[in-house]
Amino acid sequence: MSTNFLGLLIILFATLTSLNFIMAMRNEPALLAWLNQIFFGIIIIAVVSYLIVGLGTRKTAGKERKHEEEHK
Amino acid sequence: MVDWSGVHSITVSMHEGMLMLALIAVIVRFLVNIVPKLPVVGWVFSDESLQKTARISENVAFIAGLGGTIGIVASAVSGTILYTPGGILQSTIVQNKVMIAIFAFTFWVDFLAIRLKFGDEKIWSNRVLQFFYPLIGLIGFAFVTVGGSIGGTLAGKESVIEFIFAYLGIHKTDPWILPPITDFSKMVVNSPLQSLVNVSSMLQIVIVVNAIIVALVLIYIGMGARSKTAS
Repeated sequence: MSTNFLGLLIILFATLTSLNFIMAMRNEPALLAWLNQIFFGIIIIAVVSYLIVGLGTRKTAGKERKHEEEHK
Repeated sequence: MVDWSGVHSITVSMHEGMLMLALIAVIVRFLVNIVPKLPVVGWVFSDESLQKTARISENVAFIAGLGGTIGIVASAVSGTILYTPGGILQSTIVQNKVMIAIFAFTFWVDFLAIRLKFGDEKIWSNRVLQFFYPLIGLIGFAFVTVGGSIGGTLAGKESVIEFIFAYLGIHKTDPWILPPITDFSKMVVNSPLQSLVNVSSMLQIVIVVNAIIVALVLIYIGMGARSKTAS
């Protein structure tokens, strides 16, 4: 995984943890669930998209390389 | 005195219009990509007209997507002022709207990020990206539509997709919570650490640790960019 993407994930998780503790301190389970759902949703969208794009482009890059080697 | 209800209506209409344009443009670009490969249909359109349409629709999709994504932020700001942060935290229907708007925003940021990272040619020549890129826009727009429908309910009006909610048995006023995702919150609330350490001092520690993590990651990314420039 690229550094930028890892950085984004760490920032998301760090914010999520902070918010969890703030909400836990305020003792509001409904809000806690709502915030968790939002952050997990963002993380799931980001990871799934990153994996699909990463795998898709890597497959094509491999094919292009193979094609070039065959030409040589 | 500013009528925030009116401002919110304007910003929402603007971002929804721009995102609709982006979606139409990206679908046109997708069709241009597959038309030459189709039998009969491919003979009707000349290569020149297809190239022109591809160039224009691609630029329109990107610019409208960018405008719409900025528009979502403007709508979020005007919406927060309209409902007030305290009001959002008390109303489940507004919470659902905020959640859906955030998901829509994430999808459109993803849409723009893919376009900025790979560029026009690479997206449309790649077997996976040529389907995934319009799909991201489509899902993003679906979330915008659901958010708009909730907005319609909040304004006391019915939306055109009301029958879908009725068919699926979804109530907009109920909190939309997925059980597996809430398990994490229960885990944190019931954490044994909470009984060992005072919550407020623990909160301070968490905030400091998080700030250090974020700072370290930023320094790491910055050093990586610097070494790339140096080489």
